[in-house]
Amino acid sequence: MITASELKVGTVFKVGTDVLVVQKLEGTKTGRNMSVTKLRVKNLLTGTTAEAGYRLSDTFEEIDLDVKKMNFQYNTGDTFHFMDNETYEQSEIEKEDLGDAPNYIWEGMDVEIVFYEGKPVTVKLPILVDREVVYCEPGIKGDTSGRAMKPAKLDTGYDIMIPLFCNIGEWIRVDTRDGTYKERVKK
Amino acid sequence: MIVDLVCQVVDNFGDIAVVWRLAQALVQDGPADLRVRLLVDDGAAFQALNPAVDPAAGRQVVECPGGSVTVFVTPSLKRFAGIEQPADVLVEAFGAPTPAPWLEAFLVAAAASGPRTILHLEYLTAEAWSEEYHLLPSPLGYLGVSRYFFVPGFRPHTGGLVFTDPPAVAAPRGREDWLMTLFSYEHDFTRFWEDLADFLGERGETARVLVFAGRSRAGALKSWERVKASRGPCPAITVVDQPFVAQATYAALLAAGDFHVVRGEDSWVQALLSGRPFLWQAYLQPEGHQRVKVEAFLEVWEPWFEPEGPEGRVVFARVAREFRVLNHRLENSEAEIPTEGYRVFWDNRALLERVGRRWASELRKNAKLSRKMLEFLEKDRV
Repeated sequence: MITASELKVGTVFKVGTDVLVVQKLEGTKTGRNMSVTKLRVKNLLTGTTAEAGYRLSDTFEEIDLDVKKMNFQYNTGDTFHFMDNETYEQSEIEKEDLGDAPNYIWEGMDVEIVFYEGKPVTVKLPILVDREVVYCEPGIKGDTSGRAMKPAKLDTGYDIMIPLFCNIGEWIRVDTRDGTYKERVKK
Repeated sequence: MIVDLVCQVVDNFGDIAVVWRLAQALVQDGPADLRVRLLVDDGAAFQALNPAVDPAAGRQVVECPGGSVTVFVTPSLKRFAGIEQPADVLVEAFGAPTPAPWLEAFLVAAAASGPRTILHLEYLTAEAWSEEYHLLPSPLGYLGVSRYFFVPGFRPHTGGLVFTDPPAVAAPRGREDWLMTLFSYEHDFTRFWEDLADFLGERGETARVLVFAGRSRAGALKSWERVKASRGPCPAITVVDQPFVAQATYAALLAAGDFHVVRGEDSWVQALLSGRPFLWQAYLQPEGHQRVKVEAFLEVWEPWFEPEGPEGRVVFARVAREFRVLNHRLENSEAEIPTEGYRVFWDNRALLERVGRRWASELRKNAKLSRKMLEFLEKDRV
């Protein structure tokens, strides 16, 4: 069993007779003695997507899934193409099924693709990825607190808030669970 | 239509207080063929709110204005096996677990004979997310069953507040000039007694203060004794060590009173609807999260002071400060908290009552949870 608190983008879980995949985590709110979470999910049996809420203590049946390491090749608009590193077999996943993953993946990156009944349904991301800052306002020397932030764009096209001291061309580590800056890294 | 309300008493009386009030409101607002059943795991707590309840009787019919509610009392919701005709609507209040046999029968009935609805009734909050989460689907994946969050709140697109009609008629008052009630969590009321003694002394008036049984009683009475010991006798104040009273009696006292310290959810809402000045102590949450709830409440309350002009803004700021001071605690304690004092509530009673009556009137008209719930169920079940 898996609890709602363990759900992440790409988690596939069973609710009654439905099989759902988490496309987006939209936040958790705390009430007295309990918390509730809001998700965007896709029903893998019907293809429909919907917003759903669950208590963090809600439990679900886990699904046996095949996971294959594949290489992200390219995307053509709304379709992302992956290749099996061993068989060279190609698989496609629609952008809307990838949740926030397009913010963090790049061509040539090895990722884990989740298959349900032989069909690729989503991608499993590492918790942390390193990406290059391709745009931001100039850095401010001396500000190393990391508390003051400014908008920036990564090489994947993702808009993110980064500390004032970061500059274009530098690499940063990003938490894929919530899309936030973690630290500056040397490449 | 049969509506089942499932209530687990976590602590104190708030859970059953809200659920019993909701049961009565549904009877009041529902169609003639509506049957309301209530399953609760603490008969003693329920009896404290309604002396007609027999805490030992498993199944009983409890009368209420406009009809009755079938009540099931069990020591454990998880082990409860009694079963009747499956409901059409299941309201799980505050995360209460529906007994497995009931849920199973409910799901079977939904699959066999048509749609059923489950509502997760959440705790009241004034936070903005209450609108976003209200009526958010929470799919169960079973044929014929839809499940939603039902979030009470003060904002327009929430489930509203739990109350019954008509407003309580004020209880008869004594001969004192002021009537006040204290029903909160642990707190040192020294400043309250000192302020009250000064206030009454300056005006040559008297007050009766009802100190209700519960978590605030010891702190209130102890501090009263301390104040008397340090200041000497204070005949202007009559303190009543008040046993717990039924919901209707409490509401009548709130309506009759001039100032109330309230707590949690049900007494808070009833004080608000009484239109009388009040101070709310929120349910303590980990990491002081109750402060977020208090700030959210102040945010939705503030606009109601606007018609009072600059004076209203000043009074709101001072009242808001007292709400913040009372709720700025990281753990339950009776430690003394620095405070500007209680006199803002008494010096500005008339203004606060005007503000209170305006908001209470609006809430009674447009924010009745039972009506909103029945309207939603009618649409959902079409």
